[in-house]
Amino acid sequence: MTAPLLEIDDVSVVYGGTVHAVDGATFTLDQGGTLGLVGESGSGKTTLIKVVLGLIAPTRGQVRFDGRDVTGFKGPERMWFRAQAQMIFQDPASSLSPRLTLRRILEEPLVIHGLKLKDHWPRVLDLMSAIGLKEAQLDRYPHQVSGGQARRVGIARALILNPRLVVADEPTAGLDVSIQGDLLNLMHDLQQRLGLTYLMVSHNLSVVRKVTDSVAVMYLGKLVETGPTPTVFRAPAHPYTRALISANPVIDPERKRKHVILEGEVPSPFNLPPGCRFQTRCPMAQDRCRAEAPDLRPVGRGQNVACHFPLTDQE
Amino acid sequence: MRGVIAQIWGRSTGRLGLILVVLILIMGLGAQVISPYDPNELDILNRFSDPTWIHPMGTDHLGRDLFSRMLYGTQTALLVAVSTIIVSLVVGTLMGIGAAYAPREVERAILILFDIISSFPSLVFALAVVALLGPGLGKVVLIVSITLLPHFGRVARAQVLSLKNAPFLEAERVLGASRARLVLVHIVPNIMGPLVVLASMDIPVVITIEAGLSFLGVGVPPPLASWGTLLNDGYANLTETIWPVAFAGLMLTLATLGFTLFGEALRDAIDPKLKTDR
Repeated sequence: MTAPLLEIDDVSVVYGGTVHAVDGATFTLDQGGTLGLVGESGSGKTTLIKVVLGLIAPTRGQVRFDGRDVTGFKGPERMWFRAQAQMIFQDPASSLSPRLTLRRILEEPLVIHGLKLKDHWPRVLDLMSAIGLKEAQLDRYPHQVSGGQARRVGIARALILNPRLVVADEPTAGLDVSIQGDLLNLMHDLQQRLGLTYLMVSHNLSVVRKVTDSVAVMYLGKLVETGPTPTVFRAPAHPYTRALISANPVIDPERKRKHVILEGEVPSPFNLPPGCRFQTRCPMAQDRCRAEAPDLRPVGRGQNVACHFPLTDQE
Repeated sequence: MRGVIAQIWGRSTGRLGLILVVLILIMGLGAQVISPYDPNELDILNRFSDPTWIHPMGTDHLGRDLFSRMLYGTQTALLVAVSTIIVSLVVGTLMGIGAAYAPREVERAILILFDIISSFPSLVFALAVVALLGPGLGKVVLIVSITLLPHFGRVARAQVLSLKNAPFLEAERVLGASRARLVLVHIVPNIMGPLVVLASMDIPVVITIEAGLSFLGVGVPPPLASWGTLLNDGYANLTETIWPVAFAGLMLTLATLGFTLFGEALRDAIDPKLKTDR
């Protein structure tokens, strides 16, 4: 086991003193690994990745990259981290500066980091051919290329500075299935070639199951379950994870599955229920759940779960 | 750019505006070349001449050639308009961007300043400044720029606010771009469209204010020709001849009309979303 590249240690983000966008998130990500961060809209995934990238300072807790506290970075250290941790955006078209040509967009990372274009452009071209971009297309503007091309430019831009950590926010959102596959294969190849570590945000569980080796499930700003992907998908220990996974269609006629349908709505983050945040919708909530919020704790097999009554292997 | 001109040319009002603007630009920029006479050359014997082949617009109460004075007046109007718009556009835009990024208190202060400026009667302000500093071309530019600041500042601020959380700015931040770089390389080019339109629509406003101030004698000091001073000279001698007032008024009307039509056509060509029915 190598030391983790990224350690999220009890990170909380509180907006306006009352809204807990992220509450006590803790997980680690090993060098070369792929972690899938899943959860529905508004669960705090985006806030959490912004904290990881140092764009938002956590109200409490610490993010350590390579053992160093991300929030404390200033000056040259900050620029070093900016090269080390990059991001692939959800909406490729709107993540490219609309008045710049693709060439200028790809030059941006080098210019910002004061690197000579002459010395580094060959590497950019290598990267582009690996990604499937042609130099002839570079004089176009973002609105003149297809969504797939824009996405490739976004990936190329993220990789130019040779990052170790790449945060991908819904990299497959809005793509049809065959292109999704191409993209995931491309990301996998790049990971092998460049030794990348991925933190992937997605609510597509099939994708998460296929490409990640560990997974973290968020519900209303709290991590409810973390663990190795195969284990979590086979034997989810949190009722929410179980419901989430059972809602995801699996093409396997042999497999009989019990659907767990959740009742009710996600509570408003302005008015959280007492005790466990999931108790209002949990099919097995008990008095203790209404009184006391559970902490994330290990339940064996590398799994951590925030539940007073974790599910045991029933399958 | 060529497409924009073609679109302006494609509408009858835009075409009229473009023709008038080009005409005025030729008159203003070419004043030194076109003028048949020195605009300050006196010819007392020929004062109050009606328009003739020798003096196309006649002469004024000192016998100066009105056509030449009108050309130089065009130059003054353009000079004041362009420098005012540039000062106001740059300073106002920077203030607007600053307001959008500043802490809430500073933003409030800037917005209140804008409100004060736009609610203060610009004529009273102009008279106060002239009383304090004396008349002059630079002072006219200063006064009018200040009164126009809120136009550009408010639009710039609104544009930045709508852009501030755009993913592409976040992408640049993740790459490590400094705030100055974000503003100058990524924000300014994206907010210029509406600001340029606004600038072109403010040109007739500046021209009218300058003429108004000069008419009242607190604008461009004599003997520098300005449509306002020409109008005033003509007005004082209205019993003798009507031509100076008629031509100065005509120039002012054509310029205002031309720049307004041009500005509206430019707005519609650059951003059809801003189109309003008037």
